[in-house]
Parts: sequence; structure tokens; C-alpha cells
Amino acid sequence: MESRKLKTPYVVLSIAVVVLFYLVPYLMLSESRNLELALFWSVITLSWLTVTNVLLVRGLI
Amino acid sequence: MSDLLQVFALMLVAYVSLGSLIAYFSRRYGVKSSRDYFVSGYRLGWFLASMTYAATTYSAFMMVGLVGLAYSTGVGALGFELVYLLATVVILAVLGPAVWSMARERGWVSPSEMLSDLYESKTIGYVTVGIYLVAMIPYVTAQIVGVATIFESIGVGYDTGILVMCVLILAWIVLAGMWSVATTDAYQGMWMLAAAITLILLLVGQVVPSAGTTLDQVINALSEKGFLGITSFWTPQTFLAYTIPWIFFATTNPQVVVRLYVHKDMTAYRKSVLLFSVFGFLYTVVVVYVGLLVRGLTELGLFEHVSKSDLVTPTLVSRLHPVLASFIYISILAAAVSTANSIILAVASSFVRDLIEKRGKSGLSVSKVSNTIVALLTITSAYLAYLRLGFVVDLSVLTSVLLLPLAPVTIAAWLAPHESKGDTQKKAALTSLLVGTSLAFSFALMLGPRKTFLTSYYGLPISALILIVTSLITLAGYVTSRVRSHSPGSDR
Repeated sequence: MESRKLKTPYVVLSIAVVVLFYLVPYLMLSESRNLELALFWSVITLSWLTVTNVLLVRGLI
Repeated sequence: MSDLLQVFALMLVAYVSLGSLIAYFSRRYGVKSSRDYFVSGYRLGWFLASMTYAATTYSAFMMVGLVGLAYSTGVGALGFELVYLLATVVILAVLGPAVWSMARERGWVSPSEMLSDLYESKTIGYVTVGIYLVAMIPYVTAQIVGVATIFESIGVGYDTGILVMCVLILAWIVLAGMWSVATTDAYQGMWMLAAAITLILLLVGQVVPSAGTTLDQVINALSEKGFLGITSFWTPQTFLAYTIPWIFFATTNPQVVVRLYVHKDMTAYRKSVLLFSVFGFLYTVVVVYVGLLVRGLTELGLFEHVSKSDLVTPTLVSRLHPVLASFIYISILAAAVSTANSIILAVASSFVRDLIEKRGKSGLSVSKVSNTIVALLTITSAYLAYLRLGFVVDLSVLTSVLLLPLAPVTIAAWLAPHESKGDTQKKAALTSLLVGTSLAFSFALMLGPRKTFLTSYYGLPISALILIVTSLITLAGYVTSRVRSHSPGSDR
């Protein structure tokens, strides 16, 4: 039986990532003139998808 | 007959023939029970499980609605769609494995059966079936209307579009249930992704240069008009109104909840989440950039201004070579069929399991009953599409809001399956479903579905208010039960 020992920290961080997903654009990037906002959303999504899948495949969450 | 019509007809025949062959050969997996018919007997490998999840989730909205949304409202459309993907993958990773495991331990086949089992309440199951009917039939109808409108615009005819959708939905379910749906979904998912990637490559590699401009100039044009920041459309309330129902999509929509049961083992489950993540990210980014690039061309005066967002894709595609245009149109048809037949199958599973098998009417032939219900649901949706009832199509905008009360009820039971059977939790869950759905439906009747979706009270959209109210009711049931069980004089 795998431990899923990182489940709780992962859930807390996931909520933080989703909160950042909402807050950063409205507080810091709302006047974005180039591709910063698109990049922010793309990079944060891609990074968290990568973290999630690595942890999931290893049975840590 | 125009070139486009000829090429489209040929490609449609090829698409239908290959899909039907795939569906036919999927019969070899064998369908003997409702479990085989509705959830493939829990035997799907990672590739099919992943592709059917992706093709079911991503409907015709992507290539039509999302392209138009990005075109008319800017990069906020990317945030709206990516937060859905992010939240879904987190839910699949955190809650999905337990649901997968419980499904095979307890023999779940339908999503409403899951809730009635977790709460040990047939009433909750029946209410859930009712919510599915009210929420999902308009959504299927909207998919059929979307395809029929495209058929009409290229000269094939609105009624022919309805007929094609109806036949494909029915045939690709009836042949082998979840097996034929999953295999054709995989085929259609590949078609959808290939078409979207082809379109963006064409725009970047051919359309932009041949219009005498560069990608930098297109980006500058978007930047000058503010389309790369938060436009006036995406107020915080609007962003919340769009995203809240979608964040919980994986827990509320029957066609995706049921796809948590289908994997043959946990390795297949994990791999399927990975492939879905890749598919979802690629498809979303590509589709949004199509909308943004076309908007940039419009701002440079190189593409006509399209005032109605749903017409951006048809206007763009009408300027392409007939082969490419047909390829894109078929991909939209594929997205609509793969979503619609998965919904019909999931809603039918609730009917068969909760209203027939669980009531001891198992003497009836499972496949005959299932096929009959699938046919009834499909024909009802097609008939509503034929009538072109504005309210029904508009109601599809509210599908995710109507389903939202299911989110707290479902998540609470997934997290605490040993507590959900208590009387207090049961009553709270039922109240939550009834209050939440009544609220959503009342607002829809008072304000109209589209206005309901975007109206805010106290700075919060109606979807947020429904989520808060239903979460509080559900939570109250669990907390009260715990307090009672720990209070002096309790039985435990």
C-alpha cells in the first residue's frame, strides 16, 4: 500500500496555486501589455500539472 | 454543388465510416451486463480512459465558443479555461483514486447510484437523476443545435445536421455502450487536437505572413488594444461567474464522474491523468491563441470584424481551403458527438440503475432497456433542437450552475464515506440539492439563463452564492452529526 504521504501539503499548495491564479492577474498583471499574463497563467498551470503528475505516478498523493 | 460541400460530404463519409468501424470492432470486448454497458466492466486501459475523458470534457464549445471568447474578450479566456484544467487535474489526483477504488468495491455504475449509495438514500438518487435531466438535456440539445447550424451555414441543411448528430450519438452508443463510446472518443479526440494544431500552424505559418504582417505586429496590435491584459469584460465577478462552476466540473457532471470508475487498475488511472493533462493544456492553449491571432489580424485591418463571437470560427474557416475547412468542421462535429453521447450514456445509466435495476425490475433485458432509454433521451434532445426553442438552448449556459449543488454533496461524501450515511447528513444533502437547484432554476426563470449566469449580488456571482449556500447546508449536516456523536449521553 502506497503512503500518499504528501497528500496534505499537496492539497494546501494546490489551493494556494489556485488562489494565485486569481489574485496575481487582478493585482499585478491586469494592465499587461505584452504576453506576461498569458505566460503567467500558462506557466503556473504547466508547472502544477507537472508536479501533480510526478507525485501521482510515484504514489505520493 | 460547391467545392466545400463536395469535400465536406466526402470527409463526413470517411469520418463516419471509420468511426463506425471502430465502434463495431469494440463489440469484441463483450457487453453482458449494465456494468459492461455503462462503465466497460471497469476494464479500460490508460489510453482509452484518458482520451474518452478529454473528448467528453472538451465539447464543440472549444473550437466555436472559446475561440470567439478569446477573440472578443482577450487573454482572460485563457485564464478561464486553464483554471478549469488545473482544478480538474488536482481533483483527479486527490479525490479520484478513492472514488475509483470505492466504485469497484461497491459496484457503482451510475453517478446517481454513487450518491444514493454513499448517503444510503434512494431519494437522493432520484433527485440527482432529476437534476441531470433538467441540466444535461439542454446541454446535449445545444451541441446538436451547434452542429445543425454549421451544417446549415455550409448548405447541407439544419435538419440534416440534426439527423447526422442523432444517428451518430445513437449508433456509437448502442453498438457496445461505453466500449464503443470510449473507442470512438479516442478517435474523435485525436481528430479534434489534430484540427486545432493544424489551424494554429496554418495561421502562424501561412495566413499571417501572406497577409503581409508578422507575428510581432499581431502581438503589438493586441497589446495596444489591451487584449493581452484584463479587458473590461473580465471583471472579477465575471471571471468568478465563469470559473466557479468549471472548477467543480469533475465532481458535478455525470459524464465525467462516471469516467472515474472505468480504469482497469491504478496504473492505468495515473497514466490517464497524465495524458489528459497534456491533451487539455495543448488543446486549450492552441484554441485560445487561434482566437487571439484572428483578433490581432482584425485590429490590423487584415480580417473583417466579427461582432458575434460564435461566428468567429465559421468566418475564419470559410476563408480556408475546402479540405482544411472540412477538416475543422468535422472536428467540431466530433467534439459535439463525443460530448453528447457520453452525456446520454451517463444519464441513461442513472435511469437504468436507479429507476429500474435497483427497484428489482431486473427481469428486463439490460441491453434492450438501456438502448431504449438512450434512444428516448437522444430523440428528445434532437426534437428540442429541431424546435429551436431559445429557452432550452439558453438553459445550456446554466448547465454547470444547475449542477453546482452536487459539488459540496459529492465532495463531502467522497471525503467522509463512513459518515455520509447518517440521518442528519442525508437530510442536509437532500436539502442542499433541492435548495441549490431551486435557486438556480428560479433565477433562470426570473432573469433568463444568460443574465443569471453573469448577475452578481453583494459582489458575488449567483454561482458563488449557490455554492456557498449549498456548502453551508451540507457542512452543517456533517458538523451537527459529529457534535451530537461527541456530546454526553450520545450512543457512541
